[in-house]
Amino acid sequence: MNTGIVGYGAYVPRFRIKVETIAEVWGKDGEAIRRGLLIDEKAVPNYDEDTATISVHAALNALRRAKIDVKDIGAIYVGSESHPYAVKPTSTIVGEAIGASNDYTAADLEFACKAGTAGFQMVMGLVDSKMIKYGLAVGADTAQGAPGNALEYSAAGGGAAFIVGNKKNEMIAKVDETYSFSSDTPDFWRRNLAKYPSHGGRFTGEPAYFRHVKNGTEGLLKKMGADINDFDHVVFHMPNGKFPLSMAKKFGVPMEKMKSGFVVQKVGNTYSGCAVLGLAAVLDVAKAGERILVTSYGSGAGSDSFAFTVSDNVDEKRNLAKTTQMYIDNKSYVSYPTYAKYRGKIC
Amino acid sequence: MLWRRFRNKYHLIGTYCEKCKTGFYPPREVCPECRRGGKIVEKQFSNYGEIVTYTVVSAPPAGFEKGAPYALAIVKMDDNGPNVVGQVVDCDDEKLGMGLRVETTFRKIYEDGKEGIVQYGLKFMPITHENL
Repeated sequence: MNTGIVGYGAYVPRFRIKVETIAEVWGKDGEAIRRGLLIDEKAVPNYDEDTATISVHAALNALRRAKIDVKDIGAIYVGSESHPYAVKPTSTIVGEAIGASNDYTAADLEFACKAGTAGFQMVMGLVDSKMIKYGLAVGADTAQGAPGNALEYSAAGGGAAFIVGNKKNEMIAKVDETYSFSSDTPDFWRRNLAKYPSHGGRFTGEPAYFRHVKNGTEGLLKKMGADINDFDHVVFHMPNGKFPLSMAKKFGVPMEKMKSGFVVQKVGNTYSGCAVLGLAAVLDVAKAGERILVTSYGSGAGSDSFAFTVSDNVDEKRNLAKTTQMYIDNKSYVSYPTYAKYRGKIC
Repeated sequence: MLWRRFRNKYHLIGTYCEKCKTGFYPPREVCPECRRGGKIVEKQFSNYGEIVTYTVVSAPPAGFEKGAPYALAIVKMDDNGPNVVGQVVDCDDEKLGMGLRVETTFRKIYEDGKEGIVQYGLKFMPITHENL
């Protein structure tokens, strides 16, 4: 496998709402929910932000780090479950806004929370087969949760973008291997024209998230002949804080290796932008030579698992754009009515 | 059609008179000062600037109610760029003022109802990290 990340970028909207603020509206114990989910607050997109605008900002940050000619991007894939249009691609909006040429292939992807990593694999294939020079993969969402539903405490907005290339001297992190595990598991869904998703409650745990993340990760390790202890940073999809930490415990991964990508506590679950945002946060702090394992999860269901080795370029390139932590720190809290207005819950 | 001007609107591409060194956005085809003696070229302006003046819109036109009250500013773009009118978002009330350093941000401008086209373009927001 001769591909790697030559540029990456994150974007998190500025507004936040605390879990306690949402709980108070619905007469729930906010402190208990906060402790149960391990989420303190979530990112709320402004009324004029959507998956397209988030993707554009993340992609522009990726371009700043990549230092390539944007006209050399030959593919753009945007993974999301909240594309602004049912028919009309987000990916071409992103292409136009970042100044891409017209010589690129593009498509929007949907696979619940793992469409971003699916796009990453697609551009990897195109780059590796030399069909294109560089490819842009974005995972972004303005996640929906029905008012009063358990999802409302975690569904957040944000995303990350990656430019994949095959020149070793440009790589921030080399892709060592990838593996996917998929099955028809109806744990979470949103029917056509439905505003909010539905889910199977506790069914989203063992047979869904844990089965797929475990098999995805084990499949990757087996394919590589590697051990999870070989990795310095581990990111598992973060629908809440509890699930990835339970998964880490089952694999024997210490919190020390999870913490750099554990963004869910202060950002929430950014769905298609979740595991990729965790990866961006890790790249913000990882040292050259360190190894990163990322396993996404998308309901319905599947996991994409990746192994990366950080390149020497990382120190020079990471400071060329805003880090994930800069976005996390730049925040302003909103009330529930403002959040409801911005997210179209009341108008 | 607005889409014919996406390139200008998304990238702050206007025109520039090389004779009197004045930038124009939206682009002008003739320099109003130099007229036939001017030399107009296309130019992409800086994404950074400073608020010259602003107003707060509390009674917005139809389609802009969700953001109200919102700030509308005239921003002098860096590197001798033009004055550009735009909305200021993600800005605390106490921070908003003349002289505030801002950068462009790609946002939704207007939605043509629930079934129409979503118009995107540039707005302004305070610079959080200069040069990043």
